Amino acid sequence: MSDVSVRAVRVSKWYGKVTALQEVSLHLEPGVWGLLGPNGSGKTTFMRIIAGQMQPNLGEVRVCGVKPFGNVEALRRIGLCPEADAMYDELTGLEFVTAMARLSGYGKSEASDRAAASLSAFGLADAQDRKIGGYSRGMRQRAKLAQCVVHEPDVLLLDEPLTGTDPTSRAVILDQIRQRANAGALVLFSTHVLHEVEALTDQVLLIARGQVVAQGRVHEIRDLLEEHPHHIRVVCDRARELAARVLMTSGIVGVRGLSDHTVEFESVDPDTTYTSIATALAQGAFNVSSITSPDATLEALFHYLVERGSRGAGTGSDAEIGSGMRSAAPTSGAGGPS
Amino acid sequence: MTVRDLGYRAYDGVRLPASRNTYVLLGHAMRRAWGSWLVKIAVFLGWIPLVVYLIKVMFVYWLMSKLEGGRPPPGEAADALGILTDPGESIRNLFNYQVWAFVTLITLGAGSGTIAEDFTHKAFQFYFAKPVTATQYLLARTGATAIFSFMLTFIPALILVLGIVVAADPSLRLQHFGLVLPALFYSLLISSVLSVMAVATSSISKSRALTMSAWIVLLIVPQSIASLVSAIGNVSWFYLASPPALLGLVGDALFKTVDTEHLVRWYHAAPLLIALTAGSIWLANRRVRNAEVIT
Repeated sequence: MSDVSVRAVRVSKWYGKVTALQEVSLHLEPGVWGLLGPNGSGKTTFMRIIAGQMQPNLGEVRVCGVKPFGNVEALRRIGLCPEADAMYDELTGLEFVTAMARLSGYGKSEASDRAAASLSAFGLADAQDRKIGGYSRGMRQRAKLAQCVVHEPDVLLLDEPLTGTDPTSRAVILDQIRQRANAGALVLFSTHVLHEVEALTDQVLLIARGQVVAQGRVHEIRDLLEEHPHHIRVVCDRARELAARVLMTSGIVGVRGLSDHTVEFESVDPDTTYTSIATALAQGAFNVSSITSPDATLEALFHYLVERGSRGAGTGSDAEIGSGMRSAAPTSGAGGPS
Repeated sequence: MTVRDLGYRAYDGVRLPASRNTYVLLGHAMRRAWGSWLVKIAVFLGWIPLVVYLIKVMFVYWLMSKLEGGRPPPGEAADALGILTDPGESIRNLFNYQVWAFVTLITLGAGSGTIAEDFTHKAFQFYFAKPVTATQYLLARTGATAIFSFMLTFIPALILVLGIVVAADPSLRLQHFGLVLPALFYSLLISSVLSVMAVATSSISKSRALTMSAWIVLLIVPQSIASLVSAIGNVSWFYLASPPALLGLVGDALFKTVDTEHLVRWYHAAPLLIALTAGSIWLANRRVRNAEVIT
C-alpha cells in the first residue's frame, strides 16, 4: 500500500433527491486539514466515504492508494471518530476501547494494553474502569477519540471532535492531534468552530452545499478571490475625515463608519486602497490606533465562500469561479504538517 | 524543521485476520445478552422442567422395579409409565416447555431488541469503521441468541435422554439413545429459526420497546388465535401463522408424536419456516445495510 494520502476524484453522493456531495475532487497529504462547512454541507458524508462506510454514487475515493470501501487493509489504516455522542453506557471506557482494538486485529492482551495506553493519552487513565454512562461529555468525546487512534491509524477522520468539550479536554485533544500529525499521520478535522482549526492548521477545505468551495492555506485561498471586496478597518482619532479623504480613491466601493473612531473601507483594489489610506493618514497627521482587515480571519473567508456557494448553486459566474478555485487548489494545497 | 513525536508510530506488527471479527463480535454480543435480566432468569430457571422430568424418570424406574417382570401394566397405567418405554412424547413435551417458557425469554432479552439498541447507540458507526461486514455483525448478533437458546433446549433434552437410557430396560437403551439425533436437530432448528426471527424483528425500529413488543405479539397472538379457532371450530390451519406452532409441527414429526386429529403436518410447516427464516435474514440484512453508514 502506498504512502499516506486521501484522493477524491469527482465524488458525488446523493440520498434520493438530495445531493450530499457534488463532484468533489481533492488530494490530501499528511498533516492536519480542517474541513469547514455549515450543517448539512456534506462534511459527514464526505468523512464516511473516506472512512469506507459508504460508496460514492459517482467518482472515486482512494485512501493510501486504495479504495476504502470493504477493504480490510485500508480500514486498518483509518481511524474514524464519529460526530454522534452515543456509546454503550454500560461498558467501561477500557472495555469499549479494547473491543474496538480487537476489531482492528489485535489479540486480547495486546488490545487491552493498547486501549489502556490510548485512554491514558487522552487523559482517561483514572476513569478507564468507570462505566461510560458516568462520563462527562468531554470524557465521552475523549473515549471516542481513544478508540479512533487505538490501532495507530495513518488517516484520522475526526468529525467535530471538539463538540461539547471543556477547555481542558480541548487542550488534550488538540495536543494529541498535533502529535499524530507531526508523526506523519493525515488528520482530517471537521468543525464549524473556526478558531479551533486556525489553532491547529492553516490548511483548510471549505465545503458548502456538497461542494468543496476552496482548498489550501488560508492566504492562498484569499489570493484566489481577487474579485472579493476587501475590507480594511482603521481606528483613528478623526475617522469621518479619513473616510472623506480616502473615499474618492479608485477601487473603493463602500465606506462604513462603525463608530466615531472606526471606519471600514470596502475595496476591490486593496493594494491601491492601502496606499491611499497610508498617504491620507500621513498627510492629515491622524492619530492611528490600528489598521486591520477583518477578511484575514478564517471566519470572514468562510462566510464569504459559503454565501457565494449558496448564491451560485452550481450555475452562473460564481460557479465558474468556484470550479476555478477547486481546480487550482490541489496544486497549491497539498503539503506537510504545518 | 518539523518536530516529530516519537511516541507515535504506525503499527507494523501482526494483525489477526478480519474474519476473526465474527468471534470478537460474538463474544461481545454474548456479554451484552448476558446483561439482560430476562436471559439470566431463563438460564437459571431453564433447568426446572428437566429436574421435574428426571424425578419422574426416577419414580417410574423405582415403580417398575417393584412391578412384576419390570414391565408396565397394560392400559392407562402404561401411558403414565411410558416415559421409559416410549420416551419420544416426554422429550417433545420438554421441548415445548423450554420453548414457551425459556427460549421465549432468551429471544426477548437477547434478540428482539439487539439491533434496535445498536441503532439507538449509533453503534454501527463504530463497528463499520473497523474491518467488520454487515454479515459478520448479523452472524454475531444472531449467534449470541442462538447459543443461549440452543443451550436451553439441547442440553436439557440430552440429559433427559441419557437419564431415560440409563433407567430404561437394557433392550430399549440403544433405541432410546437414538433420540439424541432428533433432539439435536430440533434444538438447532428452534434456536436458529427463533434467533433469526427475533434479531430481524429487532431491526424494524429504533425503539427497543417497540421491537420487543412486536416480538411478543408475533409469538403469542397467532398462537392464541390458532388455539381458539382450533378449540371452537376444530380447524388447525391457523397454526400455520404461528412460528412456535410451525416448529412444534416439525417437532411432532421428529419425535413421532403427530396429533392425528389435526390436518396440518410438518410438510406444511417446513416451507413456511424456510420462507420466514429467509425473509427474516433478508429484512435484517437490508435494515442494517440501509442504516446511515452502510451503503
